[in-house]
Amino acid sequence: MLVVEDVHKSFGDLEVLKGISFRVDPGEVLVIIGPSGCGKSTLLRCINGIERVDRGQVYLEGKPVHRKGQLYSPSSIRQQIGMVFQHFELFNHLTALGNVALGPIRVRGLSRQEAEERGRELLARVGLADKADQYPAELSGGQKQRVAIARAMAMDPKVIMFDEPTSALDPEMIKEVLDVMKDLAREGVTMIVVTHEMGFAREVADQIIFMDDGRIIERGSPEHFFNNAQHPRTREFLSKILY
Amino acid sequence: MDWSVLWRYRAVFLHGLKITLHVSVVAIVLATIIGTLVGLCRLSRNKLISGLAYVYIEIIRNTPLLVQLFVIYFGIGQFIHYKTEFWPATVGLAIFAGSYVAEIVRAGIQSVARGQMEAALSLGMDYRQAMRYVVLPQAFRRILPPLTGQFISLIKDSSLVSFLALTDITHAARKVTASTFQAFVVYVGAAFLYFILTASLSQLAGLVERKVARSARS
Repeated sequence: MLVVEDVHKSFGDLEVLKGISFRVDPGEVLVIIGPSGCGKSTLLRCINGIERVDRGQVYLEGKPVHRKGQLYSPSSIRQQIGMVFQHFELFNHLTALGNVALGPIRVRGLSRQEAEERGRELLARVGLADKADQYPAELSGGQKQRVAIARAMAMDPKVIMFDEPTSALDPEMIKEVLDVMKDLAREGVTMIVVTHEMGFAREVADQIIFMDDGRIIERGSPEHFFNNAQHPRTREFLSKILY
Repeated sequence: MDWSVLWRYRAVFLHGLKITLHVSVVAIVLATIIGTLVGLCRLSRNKLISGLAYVYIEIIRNTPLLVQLFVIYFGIGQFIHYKTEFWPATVGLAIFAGSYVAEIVRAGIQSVARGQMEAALSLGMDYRQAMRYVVLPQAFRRILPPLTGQFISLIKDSSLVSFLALTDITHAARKVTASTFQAFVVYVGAAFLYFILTASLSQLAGLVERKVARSARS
């Protein structure tokens, strides 16, 4: 469904992505791991096309994400690829419900009533039915991230990308976010997750990709990864991160 | 000192107050429009557009307002016949204040983190929608205090339009002084009228700020 083909990206002289290729099938959970600064976040931005690629292409259901001469991918593509950010990026001037309803109203053209009805359902699904009228500043980190997940879901995307969704959270809030993500995975939502949560990767991932220095070093199933990693860089990284 | 002159000439002062208020309100509206547009142009990726905005801001901010008003009123007035003093004076004030508003708007937009734009884009919004529904509403909350300060300056600066024969508060004060020789009383009275205007604006801005305060915390 989502095909990433030989994606290259540089910022000035710094080559961040040096030819990334993979595919994600419907209902699959792909987990991307790797040291900080290896290009994972940039890769996600290149996949939904809010960052241009220098070379290569991304296809969503066969349609190219990157179009010649356009700064961003077309709206029709972007709204089908949800994104959850490390620092939540909730719209601070809107309530939780306002955050979830904004995209459906402005992009999909739903009426406010329809969008809010569905928004409440989604907030209930992430366990925040009672927080609909709170502003982001009044929510905890874990609650903010769950609202952000509901906001992404509200667009009915084909795939949702998570960029280190628990890295900015206090330890006691990580589980509530991971639980929501596990629920989504179980319901068959297609996901690409950049994370350092190895427990989550082991339990939920269908495929794991290990990236280092702008390249994919190793890929495979969780069993392969945690029991049988081949590449020395992968082993070294895992030995540092698993304790 | 004869404080009764303020009462005796109240009609002149009230007329001046009306003119100052009229000039200031229209100039504030125009400056907001100019400032927002120029501030957005300043952030444009198009080098020509952002360059022109930069040149406008620099020229206007680095020359005296009174000279700018003279250029517009007497200078351009050489070629175009103005029917009233109101528009050249008000537009002059707006062009001046607009350059400051542009910088406030630009800084406000830039202070709304890039991540907010990216979040809006990943919902499928285009750049315009992201600006309109996500970035500008948040920037507005942040620029409200400096904007209020700028508009208070504008009201005070509007006293310069009295040089263009506009019968504002300052002009009224000069006129009354000429016929009563009560300069101290008259100018203190004039200052008080300006103070009423600026203090009201502060109060109004405070009201708006408190109204949006709940979501602004973050």
